[in-house]
Amino acid sequence: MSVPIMTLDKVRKSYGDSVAVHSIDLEIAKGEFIALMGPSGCGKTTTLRMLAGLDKPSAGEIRMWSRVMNDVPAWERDTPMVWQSYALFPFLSVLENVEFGLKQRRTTDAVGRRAKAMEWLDRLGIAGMAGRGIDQLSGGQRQRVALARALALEPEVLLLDEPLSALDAHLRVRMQTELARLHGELGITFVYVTHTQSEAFAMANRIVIMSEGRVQQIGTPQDIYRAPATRFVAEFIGASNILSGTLKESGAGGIVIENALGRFRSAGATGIAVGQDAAFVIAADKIALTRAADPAEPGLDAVTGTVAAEEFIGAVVTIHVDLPDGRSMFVQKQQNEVGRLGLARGDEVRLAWHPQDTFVIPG
Amino acid sequence: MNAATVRWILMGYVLLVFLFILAPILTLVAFSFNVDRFPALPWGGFSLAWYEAVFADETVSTGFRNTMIVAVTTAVVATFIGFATAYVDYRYQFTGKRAYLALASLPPTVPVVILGIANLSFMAAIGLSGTLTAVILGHVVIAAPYAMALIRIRLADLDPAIEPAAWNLGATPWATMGQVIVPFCKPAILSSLAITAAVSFDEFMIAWFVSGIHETLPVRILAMLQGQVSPRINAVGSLVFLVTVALVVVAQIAVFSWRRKRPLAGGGDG
Repeated sequence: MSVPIMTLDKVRKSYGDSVAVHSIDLEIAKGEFIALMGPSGCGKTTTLRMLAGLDKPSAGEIRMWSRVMNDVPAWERDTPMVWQSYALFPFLSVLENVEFGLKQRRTTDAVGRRAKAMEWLDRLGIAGMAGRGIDQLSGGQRQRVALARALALEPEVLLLDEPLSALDAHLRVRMQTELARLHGELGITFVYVTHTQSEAFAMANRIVIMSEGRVQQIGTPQDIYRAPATRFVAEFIGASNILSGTLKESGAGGIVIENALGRFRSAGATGIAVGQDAAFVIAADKIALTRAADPAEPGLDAVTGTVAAEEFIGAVVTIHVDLPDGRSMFVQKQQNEVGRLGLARGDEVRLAWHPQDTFVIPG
Repeated sequence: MNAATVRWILMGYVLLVFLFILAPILTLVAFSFNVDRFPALPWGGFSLAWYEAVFADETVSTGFRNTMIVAVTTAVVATFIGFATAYVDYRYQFTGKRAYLALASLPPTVPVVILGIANLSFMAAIGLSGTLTAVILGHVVIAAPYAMALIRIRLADLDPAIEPAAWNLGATPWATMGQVIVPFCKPAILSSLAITAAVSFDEFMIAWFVSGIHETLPVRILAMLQGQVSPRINAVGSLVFLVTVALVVVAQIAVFSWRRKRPLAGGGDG
């Protein structure tokens, strides 16, 4: 990676005794769409606010290109933000809101300002609203004004703090597409805070998963989805089954984890020593589902159990299976595939998977 | 009893209450236009003589001028202090904030006689006794809490993200104050100017203690009452009432202008 546009170097933020962000190292490349994701209180918003200069790191360094930003006040930075509440100025018109940042810059006169603001309103499809007051707009329109207001400054980095969380579901999906399109067209860096994984997965090139002020994993959506690095990530994503046990073998031949259900192979290396607690994760859509009486496919690891419940989510069905030792697993399949099996509650089924589709995490 | 009957009874009750409150004032206004020397029924006839007498009376016009100077200055200073106090409460978290707010709201709860005496001895000690400045200072003390309360209510409606959003867009804290906070608070500031002017305009006790020879209108009215019973007092009283009501109405209009325009909740399509 060439020089990152933004660097967080062992950045820490504490308020008295409580630590909001422990020690974050993160390099953001120019043009990236990076999502900071985690449950509320994980430190993602604090991290974003530090990037904007609204909170000052207690320790560590934030750099933009190679300039240290720690002591640069918010109003001297070029990192406009889109707020969860939109934070539009209620006493100004739509146009005046978009002009606000340009007015502070004093780089253009009133005419140039107006033209630029109109250009961005037009680009976001709300040029017809220019003269309206903020209280005359719907949520989706406000969202566009907030975006136009930030983008009118033509920044290198745009910060977004849960910008879609106040919108209803169908509008959220539409704005998601729009944001991804804008990111592609503008080629600028988006730093996007969210607690909704569908948003992060749909738009981001890279995702940073945080929990309790610490980074749990940084990776592409595929990495995070397929190979969660920690139990927290696996549980937070919720797309995988976690089977814990004891690490029995670890070597060139792979890893073996043993529990009451049997011995399970896994690919890849880990720092976990033999004899310690470990778990492996297997994505719900990577599991083959057959009736227990059907012949087992060779080369796969498998468990058997009974069907506990089925959930339909459009074309995809989630089947919950109770295992003999009291655990349960879930499998996601296309509806037509499941239909062929004709399963009913209580039926005996076999769940099988390739060892290379599993990933080992600390127990 | 059906709902309509209950409504009529309640409306009648409210009317009675208003009548009870306003009857003496209405009587005063009515008799200020009465040609007779003594306020007695039947009404003798319409006359503006008492108003002419009031406007011709130099002590009254001086008193009125003093009152206006005091009211306007008090309104500006008290609103400024009230705004600053409310903003500090809005922007900062600090230990002792409750005590700070309690202290800032305290003056109107102190009996005015005590305030008057305290003002007198303090102003005498610093050599300001008997000046309009002393009256203004005394009035600012009792009026500023009203200003703070009004502006604080307004600030409570301000999205906490708005100010950082302005900084984030390149506005310095001072620019944000001028372009965001003050414009947002404008209705409350106008309302506060009117209310604090009204508080000062008809304040008697402090003015009586510290004004010395620079009588304000309420002090002048008392002096007139002590001297003789004259319908001129009705005329002056009517004028004072008119100004005070006008100020309160202005304050109410300002408050309603923002209460009506509260933003709708988010969501919806677009």
